[in-house]
Amino acid sequence: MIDFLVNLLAIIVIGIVQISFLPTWPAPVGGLNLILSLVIFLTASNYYKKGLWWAFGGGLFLDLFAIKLFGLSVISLLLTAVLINFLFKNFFTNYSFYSLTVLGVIGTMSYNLMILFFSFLFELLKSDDFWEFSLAGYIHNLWWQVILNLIIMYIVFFIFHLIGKNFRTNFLTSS
Amino acid sequence: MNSVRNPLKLSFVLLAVVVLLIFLHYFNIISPVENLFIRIFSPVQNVVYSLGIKINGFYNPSDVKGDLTELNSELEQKVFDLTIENSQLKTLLFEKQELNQQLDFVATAGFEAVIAKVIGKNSQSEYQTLILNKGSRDGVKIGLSVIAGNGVIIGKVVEVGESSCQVLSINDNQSSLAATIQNQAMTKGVVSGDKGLSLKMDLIPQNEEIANGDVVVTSGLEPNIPRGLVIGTVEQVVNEPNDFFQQAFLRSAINSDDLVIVSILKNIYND
Repeated sequence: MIDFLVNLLAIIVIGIVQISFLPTWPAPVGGLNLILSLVIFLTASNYYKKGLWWAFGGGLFLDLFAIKLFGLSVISLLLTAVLINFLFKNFFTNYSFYSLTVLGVIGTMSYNLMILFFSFLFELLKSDDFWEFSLAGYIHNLWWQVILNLIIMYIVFFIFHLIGKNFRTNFLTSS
Repeated sequence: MNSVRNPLKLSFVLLAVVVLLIFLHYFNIISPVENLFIRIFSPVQNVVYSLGIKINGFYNPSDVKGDLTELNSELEQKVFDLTIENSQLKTLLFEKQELNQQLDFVATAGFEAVIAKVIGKNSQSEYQTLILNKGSRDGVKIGLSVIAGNGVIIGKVVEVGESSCQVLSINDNQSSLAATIQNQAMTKGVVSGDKGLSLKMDLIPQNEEIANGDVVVTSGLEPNIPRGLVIGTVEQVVNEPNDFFQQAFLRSAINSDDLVIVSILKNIYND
């Protein structure tokens, strides 16, 4: 019960920071997606169930304040968690810094592409204004979000590495 | 094997719950719960948002450079502390001035308005929207115009909850406003957002003379948008001889990133 309440409070706090604090900063810092970073990190750290609950709770919180397409964030986060877990279980199983990096890049890009895809489907059914969005601007923002999310994951990774035994840093060595 | 299956089962269960919630949302069945959560979080969001603007506006790395002796270090620290205090007082003064300015404008123009605080911005980056802490129970409806400062329009209400609403910024690609350039001919056109960064005015007849610096205001041709609200000033005119219309790029009259207090104009009837 305590674990549930602590996680719920953490989701709310991080959600508020993402919606009300980060957007006050100029790009690219304002585009950092804390909830996505933590969902990817938890899933890639073998805390898949916790990652799913974070995707569910965090995504619902983001959708509460989204302008359109209620459910877009939560579905994209859940599918990203499923994808990351699949890759983690089958390809990147050594809990290393490198596997976290690759999963972080894949997770951030797949989340954003899912958002774009579902938005496209919605706009296709609804109106013809979709194609006015800037591809160059989108790619620029996506690139920065990948970098910033990886930084957040690295910080959490090193904290976990210091206090737990789950990870190895696994930088390249000659041995 | 069970422990492998359980997370998979959980994934499907959560996706099914999300689909159900989406269904309930679009039929407004869970809107009381959503509004309750928004009402609970709004005060905290307002504080966090204001704090973010204060920190962002205050931080300037160039203030702390240089080699300092011990006395200079102490004096620098004192100046730093006083600057923080001054900044906090200025922010409060700015908010009060903003509020007074908007109240004066609304009273002079004879509008009915709801004062609202900005509590966040939309997290889906392709839309430039602000989240405000007033909603349907305050008389807010979709389509109402939102102003800041001394009658500068910043956007239109596009979504309304019971205690919050979302405002589409005039910089957004999907925004469009019927506008008038305050030149001799009072040229009419349409102002739309340009990739969330600036404004452009289209459908300006080729024979109209417009110049850099001309002020552009709302024309009052749309419902709920009064005439005379300032949109911006002409910064660049694009005039190709073979085109039917000219195009003007505008500089917005206000920086929407610094907004904390805005006014939602209600019950507008254009003659």
